[in-house]
Amino acid sequence: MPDSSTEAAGVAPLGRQSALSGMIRPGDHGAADYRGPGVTITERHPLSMVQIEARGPEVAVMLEASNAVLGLRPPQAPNTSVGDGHPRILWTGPNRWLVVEPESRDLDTVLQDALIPGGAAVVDLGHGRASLRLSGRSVRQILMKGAGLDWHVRAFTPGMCAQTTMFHLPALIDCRDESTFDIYVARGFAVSFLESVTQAAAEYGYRLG
Amino acid sequence: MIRINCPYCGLRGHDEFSYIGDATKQRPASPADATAAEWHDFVYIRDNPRGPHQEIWQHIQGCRAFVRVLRNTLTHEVLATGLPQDDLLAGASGPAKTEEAKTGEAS
Repeated sequence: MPDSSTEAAGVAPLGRQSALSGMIRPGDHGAADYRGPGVTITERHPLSMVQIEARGPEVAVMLEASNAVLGLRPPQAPNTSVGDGHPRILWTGPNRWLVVEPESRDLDTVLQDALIPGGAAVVDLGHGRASLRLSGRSVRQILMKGAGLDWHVRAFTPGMCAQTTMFHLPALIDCRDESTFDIYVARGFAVSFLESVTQAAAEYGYRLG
Repeated sequence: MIRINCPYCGLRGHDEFSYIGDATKQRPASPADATAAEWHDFVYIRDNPRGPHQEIWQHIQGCRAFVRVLRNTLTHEVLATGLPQDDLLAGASGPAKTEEAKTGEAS
């Protein structure tokens, strides 16, 4: 089927739509105390997310090439993440990383051009995941309700990330600072995940924005 | 809950893992020459031991790595874990292998 069929018919190409489009009702909800909402929940959209992976001797080549093209070396230690968000690189498995940044360029093509000649695999996941940012003094209580890891402030520190299940959904959880976490879930589960998070956050009060 | 020490992620609940199978079963060395009986044995025949048993699990909800687990099938106690190629019976000190695994695989 020709790609130009919709354009030929005069149909405007669809813009990129968030999985949570229309689901976020901005404002304060739940039972906040005098300090205000315990957590602020924001959707991170649109994001470029690209998975990079290599095997054997090609790993070192890929790490060098990533460093050259992104100005950032993927972290060696398992379950760690680096970068200020432009981009952020998260360890997601042995010799596998996820590169994330706010969508501003064709990150997939940039990485394909830079890394595939060295033998790496580059996969664009940007349209397959949704991401929420949870921030505030109650964020670790909410994580405790949904995910069975040690969320103590000295145990899960900024620069650590983990893949686990949260509210029974596979999730990638990235600690940005002591009280700020970025959470990635599959796009199709985004609404369910948001509902679970807001339900868990209701007793602390939450701000949707 | 059984907790399994992933060589990469540390102790995680077993609900993050998928059971793959018996780690002691060897694929026929020369697949093209293996007889039907050898294939039948490899694919279908399993012991059902009582006591320590080596198994392959996959950290499917986490880093997706395969993990070799020495598990007591009677008590469900996880005695040792390591990378699939590790010999858990030789060392029998699973968690100690964690650091090796991290540095070894990273390069």
